[in-house]
Amino acid sequence: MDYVLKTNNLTKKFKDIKAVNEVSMSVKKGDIYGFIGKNGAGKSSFMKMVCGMFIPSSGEIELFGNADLVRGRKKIGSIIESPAFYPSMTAEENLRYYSIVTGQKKYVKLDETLKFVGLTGFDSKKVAEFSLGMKQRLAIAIAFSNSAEFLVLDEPVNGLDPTGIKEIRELLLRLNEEKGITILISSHILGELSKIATKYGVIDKGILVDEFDSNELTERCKKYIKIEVDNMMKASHVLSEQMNIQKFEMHNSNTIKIYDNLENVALINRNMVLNDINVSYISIQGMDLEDYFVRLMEGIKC
Amino acid sequence: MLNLICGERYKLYTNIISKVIMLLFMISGIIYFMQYRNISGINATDKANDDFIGVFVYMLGDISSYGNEIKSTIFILGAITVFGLLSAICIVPVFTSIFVTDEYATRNIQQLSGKGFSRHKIVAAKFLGICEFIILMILTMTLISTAVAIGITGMGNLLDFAPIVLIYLIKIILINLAFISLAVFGSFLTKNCGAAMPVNFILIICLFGELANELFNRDVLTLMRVSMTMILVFFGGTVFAFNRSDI
Repeated sequence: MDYVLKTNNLTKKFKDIKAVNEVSMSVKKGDIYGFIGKNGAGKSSFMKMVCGMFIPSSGEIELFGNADLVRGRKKIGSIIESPAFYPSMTAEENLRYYSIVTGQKKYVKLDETLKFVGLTGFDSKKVAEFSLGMKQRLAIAIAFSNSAEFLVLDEPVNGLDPTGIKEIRELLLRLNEEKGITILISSHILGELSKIATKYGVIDKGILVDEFDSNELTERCKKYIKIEVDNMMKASHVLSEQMNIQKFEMHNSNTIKIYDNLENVALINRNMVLNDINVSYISIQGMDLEDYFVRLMEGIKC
Repeated sequence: MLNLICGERYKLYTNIISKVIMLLFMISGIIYFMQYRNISGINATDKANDDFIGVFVYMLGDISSYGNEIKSTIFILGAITVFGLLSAICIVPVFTSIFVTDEYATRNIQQLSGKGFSRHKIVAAKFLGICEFIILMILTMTLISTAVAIGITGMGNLLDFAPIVLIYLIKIILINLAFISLAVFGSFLTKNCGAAMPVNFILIICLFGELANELFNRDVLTLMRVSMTMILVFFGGTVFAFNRSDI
């Protein structure tokens, strides 16, 4: 399997505090890896180590299956904390500068890149006069201007309005789908993150506490009818035989979780009662992705 | 490495601050050229009792043995000395502080590091970029002052004095390079413009200001040795510190 990033027990200490504590994680080629954690959980420190801004206290980093980080980082683009560019230059001048330093001055098509991120028609406008959304789009253009195969984006939608967030989301999806760029992205807007990420990692107090893919997340957040009855056998018979419901699970001695017919809560209740089954509790359970993430970050597993 | 230097060059010549510094240099140049009238008035018998003439007497020794044809040379040497030292003492600390710390403020130093450039190359490119800019300014000023001198006084015996002019030029460039390494060190150490500027002024004026004057009176080889030592120590120190710090 092709991994773009692999870390092994990566640790960053600031005096006695471990900002990142033995994190071992891997990002597969083509993935959009959502990195989740509270403020100060260690996301930015981890990303900074990957990008060479922080020197790791211990542990190893592999980029594109190779421990040669200088070489690997040539294929990385990054936005850490806030976009990096020269505000007194125009968007094209900024891009040209990065094309020059990455040795692409003769080959890179600046217009094409600007068009891709939707920044055409601002030839004479200095970046300082750009809106935040435009700055973020330019930062993304700069990040992949060196034909990057892997983008490390730390809170790229911070401070953007809903339209700006949508634009960046669509841009990232296009980069992933059309150019095959792998993305490691952190964001506090978890609902947005869940619209693009294919894999998630949850970091808390520097420790990677959980990793799961989008299917697993959907599974974990699936809605169901929770029903508590006094006769489990009879209740299961009613569900399967009378109501033809197959997707249900029995838990403990009195709880059934039904994953089908979520709109028929009243009917299920009525059938139970008609069959002399006492229902002490019935309700739709489960949560949306935002709630799930919030609970995860609070350390409560679903 | 070459790409990084090309990038620095591109940035320097599109940067408003470098344009402003060039402009200030030119304005001070015009003021200096206005002093040409004073030089025209130099007589072979003049002594070092006038401050302005005293500078040239100091540089060339007793000028009474020369005729009026020495005026061009005096003018050019004056331009090299005045602008060279002005550059080393005033422009280098200000310009380097802004140019280096701006990279931290705009986070471009992080971006470069994230793009896989070794840290020593980032420091070297920055140092060489500034050196190129300052040398270019000094050379431009020398060329302009030469043209002005020739235009007004004629060639005179300028060619006879060409080696002296060249030696002064080399001396001034070496002093500037040494001071650039000092200012780069101060700027990378402090990382922010508000702190870098006073630190660089203290380093350059208080600690090494007298050295510039001292070095200027020494021969080129001694000056070269001292400058190279300073560059090695301060450039090496910057790379050493930068390699071991988080950015």
